[in-house]
Amino acid sequence: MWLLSLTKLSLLIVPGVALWVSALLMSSSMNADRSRSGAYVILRSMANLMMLLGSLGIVVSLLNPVGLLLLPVLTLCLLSILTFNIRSSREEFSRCLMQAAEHQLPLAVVARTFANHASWLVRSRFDRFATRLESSVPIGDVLAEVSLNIPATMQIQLAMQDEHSDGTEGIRLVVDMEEAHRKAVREWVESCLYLFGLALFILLGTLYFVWRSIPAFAGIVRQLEKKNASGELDWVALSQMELIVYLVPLIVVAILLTLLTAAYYLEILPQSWSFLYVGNRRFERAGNLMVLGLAAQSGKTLSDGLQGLSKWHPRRKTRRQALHGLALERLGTSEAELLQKLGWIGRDSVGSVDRASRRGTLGEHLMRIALENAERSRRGWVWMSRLLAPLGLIVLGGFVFCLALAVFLYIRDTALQET
Amino acid sequence: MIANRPTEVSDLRILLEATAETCPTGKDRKGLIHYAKSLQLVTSIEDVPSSHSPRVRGMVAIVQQIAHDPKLAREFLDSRRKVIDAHESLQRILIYPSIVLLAAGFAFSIFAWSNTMINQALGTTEELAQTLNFRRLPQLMSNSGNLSQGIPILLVSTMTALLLIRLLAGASAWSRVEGSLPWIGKLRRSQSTAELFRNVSLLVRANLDLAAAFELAGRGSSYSINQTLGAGIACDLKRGGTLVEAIASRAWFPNWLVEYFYRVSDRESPQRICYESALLLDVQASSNGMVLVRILPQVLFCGLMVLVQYGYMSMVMRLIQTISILTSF
Repeated sequence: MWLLSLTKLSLLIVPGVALWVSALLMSSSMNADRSRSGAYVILRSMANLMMLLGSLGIVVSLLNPVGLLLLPVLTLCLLSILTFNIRSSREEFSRCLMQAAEHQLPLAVVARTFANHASWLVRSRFDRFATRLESSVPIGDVLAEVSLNIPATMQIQLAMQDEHSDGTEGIRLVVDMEEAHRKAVREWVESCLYLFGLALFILLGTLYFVWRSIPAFAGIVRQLEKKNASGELDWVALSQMELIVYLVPLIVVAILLTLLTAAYYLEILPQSWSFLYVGNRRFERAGNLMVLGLAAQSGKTLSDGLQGLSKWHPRRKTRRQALHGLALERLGTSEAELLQKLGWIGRDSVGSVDRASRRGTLGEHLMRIALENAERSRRGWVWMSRLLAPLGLIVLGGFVFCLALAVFLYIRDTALQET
Repeated sequence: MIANRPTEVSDLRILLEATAETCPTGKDRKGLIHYAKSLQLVTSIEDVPSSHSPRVRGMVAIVQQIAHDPKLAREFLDSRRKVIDAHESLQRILIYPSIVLLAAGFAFSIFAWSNTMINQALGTTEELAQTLNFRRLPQLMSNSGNLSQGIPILLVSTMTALLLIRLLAGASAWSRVEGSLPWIGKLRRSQSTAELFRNVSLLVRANLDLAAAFELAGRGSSYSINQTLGAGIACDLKRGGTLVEAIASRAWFPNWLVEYFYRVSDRESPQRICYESALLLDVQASSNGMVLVRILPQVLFCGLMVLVQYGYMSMVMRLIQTISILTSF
């Protein structure tokens, strides 16, 4: 009994932290409101109340030993939220810089303005970035000094911004393609996670149902009642068994699932799992080909593009591939053969790349191959997510409906028997 | 005032119909299409029939102002497309909470109903407790019943309260409430301000003076808050104030935007500053939208799981209770 009470008390930490974080978010969003209107006062009071209740929940739960066990998990969750905020802010900052560079806005002023109003989590980094830009350091060098941890293609293109100002259309294309693809992959992974969660839920729910129902039908409850001296059912024992057999595995699995989901969305999974982010090899190859194509279109050689990739690409594997490509080029390998050896184009494309190289239209050709690959890959992901998401909803709806129907039929039969 | 320009009526009609397609609300769309059918060239916004809503009149005035220049017209349609995209993205974000609320309400209604059925079938809980010598039964059933009935009532009352606030407070006040919400507020601020500045930039390029451009852009905006803001800024500018001061005195605009205006106001024209601000605000809005899209489904999915889990458990518990009661007779 005491274990159950302590567990119940310790679980207060979950709503407590949720309230506290929500209040913090509300407060930070209201800081932008300088009007101090009626709505502001009401929302501010709500945020204060939520913070108070949240703090109370946290303190009460931490006062018992079981609550302390949950503390590391919650700390991890909080750290995940902070990391997510940092990543979002960096991405927003770099997208603003991209926009500014593309439309000839003053880069240093934009960077300084956003740095001054950034959250405290990223302010110092943005501040350094803005200071370097104000000192007229090229953005490529600033990016090398102060990393923003933004998507690969965006970083490379931002770094190459100074070098070919006429390639802005291509840059926009690359970034748009990458974003569209990332979105498609994300949707697909979401659908998978939903289905996984649903399957888990249904499995555990069914196990629980069977575990509790069969003994009841077999008359074990009646035996328990007979054993009890007072004639009362031993609900405490049942509750504790329920806690151990059912709730504990469920909580453990739920925590693992939450952490995995959080890690995925925060993009803090190991580099070897990065296939989840860049999608598949075809899209990754497409990204690399786009960079090379853009370099060729702006009058640079293939080795310039490979050097860019080897220097700025965040994936070690791609950096190694680019270095390998540079070595092959020095050995006199032709461009088409080089790209094929790196695995970035198929055997069937070697001839056409060779011809394009001789005609001097290598850039355009590489861009076309890259766009075709990227589009094909994106379509695949979108198709899968379109199939999986409705399937998840149908399964959930069907499950709830069947459950409700089963209970209804059972109750109806019972009621008929009794009357 | 709308400049009287040599514009073909057919071009104008096409542009108005294209603009109508980008209206988020059906009322505005119908109004614009109706106006396009009985089209006549007007020289001031007052000439647009007052039977149309102020927003439709504002949009008609903007279209007539920029229709003579194909480039401006194209940019205006792009701008409208961004507005409708923004509305659609917000709808996509909010569809999940709606489904969760509906599913939760439906599930808990079933639980409440099954509770009533059990009570009817088995008699009062006090009688049962006495028969079974089970003292905690009334308390258990009462807790479960209150929860099952309380949640649908809570959901319905919350939705009614929100609807009442929306109706009583008016669109502008509602926009301010929206602007104060976490995440969604930031998104709404960026989207509405971007639309205002984009349209101002277009109208200034169409040779309208800055004050008139703000007034007209506000009137024809899809966001109610922009009507108040546009009129207010226009008023300040007519009184001789500067654009930076007018922006800084409005709490709606983000702080970084005010600073940006201060930093670039001495080196660039107001039209260029409005254009640049709209670009940056667009980026900010799309980034905020992406953050919301990333977070909300996960949070709501967890919420749904907890709700269904809780409902499922309470239902199964009730079933077990019923079985054990029946088997013990």
